[in-house]
Amino acid sequence: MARLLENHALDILKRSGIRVPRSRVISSPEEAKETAKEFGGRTVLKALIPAGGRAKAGAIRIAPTPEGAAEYAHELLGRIVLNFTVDEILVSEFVKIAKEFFVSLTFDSMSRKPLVLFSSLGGVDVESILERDPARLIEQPVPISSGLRPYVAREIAESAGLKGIEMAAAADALVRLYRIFREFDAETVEVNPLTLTDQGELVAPSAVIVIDNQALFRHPELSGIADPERTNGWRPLTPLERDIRSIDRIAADSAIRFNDLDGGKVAFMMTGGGAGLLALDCIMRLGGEPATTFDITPGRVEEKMYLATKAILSKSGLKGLIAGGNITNFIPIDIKVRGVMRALKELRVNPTDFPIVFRFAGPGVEEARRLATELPGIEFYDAESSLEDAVKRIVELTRDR
Amino acid sequence: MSILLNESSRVLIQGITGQQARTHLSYMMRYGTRVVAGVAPGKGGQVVEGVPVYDSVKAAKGRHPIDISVLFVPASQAKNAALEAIGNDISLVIVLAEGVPHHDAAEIIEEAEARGVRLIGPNSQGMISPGRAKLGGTGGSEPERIYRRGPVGIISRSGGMGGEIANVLTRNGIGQSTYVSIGGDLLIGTPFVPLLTLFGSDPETRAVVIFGEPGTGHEEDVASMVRAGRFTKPVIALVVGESLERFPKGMSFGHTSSILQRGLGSPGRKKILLREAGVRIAESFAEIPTLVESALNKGAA
Repeated sequence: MARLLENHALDILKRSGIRVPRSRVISSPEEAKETAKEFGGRTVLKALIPAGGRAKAGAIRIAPTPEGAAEYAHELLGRIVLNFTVDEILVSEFVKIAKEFFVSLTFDSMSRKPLVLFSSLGGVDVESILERDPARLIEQPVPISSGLRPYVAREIAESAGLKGIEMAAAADALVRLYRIFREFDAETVEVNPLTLTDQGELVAPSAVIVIDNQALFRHPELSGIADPERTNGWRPLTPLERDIRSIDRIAADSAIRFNDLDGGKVAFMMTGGGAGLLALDCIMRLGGEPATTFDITPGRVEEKMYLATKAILSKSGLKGLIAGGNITNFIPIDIKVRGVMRALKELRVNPTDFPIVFRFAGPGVEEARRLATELPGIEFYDAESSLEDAVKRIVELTRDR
Repeated sequence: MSILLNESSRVLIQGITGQQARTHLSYMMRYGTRVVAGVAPGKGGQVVEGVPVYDSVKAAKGRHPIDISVLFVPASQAKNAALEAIGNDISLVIVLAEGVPHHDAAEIIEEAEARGVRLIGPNSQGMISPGRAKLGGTGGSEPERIYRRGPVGIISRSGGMGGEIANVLTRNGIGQSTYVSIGGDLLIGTPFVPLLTLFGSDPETRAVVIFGEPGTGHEEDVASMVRAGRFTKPVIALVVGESLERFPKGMSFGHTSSILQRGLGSPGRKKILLREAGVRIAESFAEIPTLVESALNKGAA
């Protein structure tokens, strides 16, 4: 998922004909003050970070004066908010709010269609309010072949209790937001709050747009804006995660998915979307401490496995390694094992001091087993044993280390 | 019997000239899959492994009756290839590609529904009716090492784990009727419930094992189905991902569906609902053969 920074998201809304307040990205208190003067005094300052929940984290502030803006900017800049360092702030014109709505577009895994969520309640606490009062949330799946028709958008706004001009303005915004959702291959487009000013105008003072990573290849216009490396979903990438991402870029025929977990004792390289989760459940259930999660899709993966193993083993505090995954269908697993073994030999790892368990099964298993014997002490499991047997073993071997 | 696929199913391969397709084509045919034609736009007239290649699905269909199309087509091309198969009313379409954009998946799924076509995937590994035929990558070059014909159906959101389940069953002397890999993506054409309906009316199938993951409401739907008595054969379920609930929200793992959305998709909750409905829950992989065995014995008694 590539979450756009808010300034870029707001630019897209503006180009789609949705009114957004004037805003500017600043990185010093002086700039904040100048901008606030230009915007007429009262402004809203928001930490420009790729994370939700900023208001509750105190990273959205209303500054009554340009001096106040400078003061807040001084406080916010350099602070760590929701795991991200605040290097920049978005300063926007203050919008006088008469009413707040909530709009979100996403995919619904059950109807398998785009889903419009709309509520006449909006604001910071909307999620918990709607959890308590789900009837206030209008949910409307949209057939992707026909798109969000204007009359359907009006019906959605009407169901939420809106009338007259308000209803028409909200419906118009819904249709425009839906177009953004489709045009940019978004996973999520969310405006909360979508506000009605006391002048009766609809304004979007904030916006979240998340692009589907798997569609980035066809959006050159988003290059430099949609950056999947800005966040791993909840915090910035760790140095190890950055290393693994650059290793992944050496070839496009396979993809690595990697998480650097806090702490942990076991370098955990069990691949497979389902198998990796089964193995993770198992190691946690047994009280083991995984230091990573790792998945790699099929391809010519020897070099990636070699580089990734080397990088992962550089993490401090490790007491052992488990590598492998589910039974493969046709990707020869000795290719993976060859990569891992190259790294282990180069790093002069001694499996009697640093326990290593492999669970590899599939074509090439005989060669994989032979490769593993090159370092005495590696325990090798194949299709005779389950993933859980291998996980149990690494937990036993690393327990008292 | 089996569901969806047997030795007489006539199969089309889209993207037949690609390297992966060629490899798997030979494995499929060796296992008994009746591949009647292939499609590769611009390469009509070629022959791959004895299979005639056409420029379009329409041309292939004009010369051969076709029941199933399997798409060995990269993610970026999958939408067009799938729409072509659906548009030509192939009744079962299997999309293997991983990484199909969500918007494309939604379009394919909607079109398939509108035309009454059954779509498996995207991100399916294929399927196998042991001893009869197999599609896609399932089972690789030596499916007989893992799969054996028998009374248990398998449906899995993870291609790899479907194979693991078959492996452990076979090693315990329990065979399988059909295994379907439904795909780990957020948006998939056929979840558990419609396949359970098919297994329900398949006389050979006496129990079904399902492998569930975090995200979506597909396992929850199985619970409702079983609870309502719309599926009466024993169901054994392994739902992984409970450990995810101990990690920060937003962390992403292998499958794009593995996100917890609006109250849906918590593995813990899925297990509670399934258990309450009467589904046998495997707390670990190791419990699967025992649960299946006892389900089969009970059914026989």
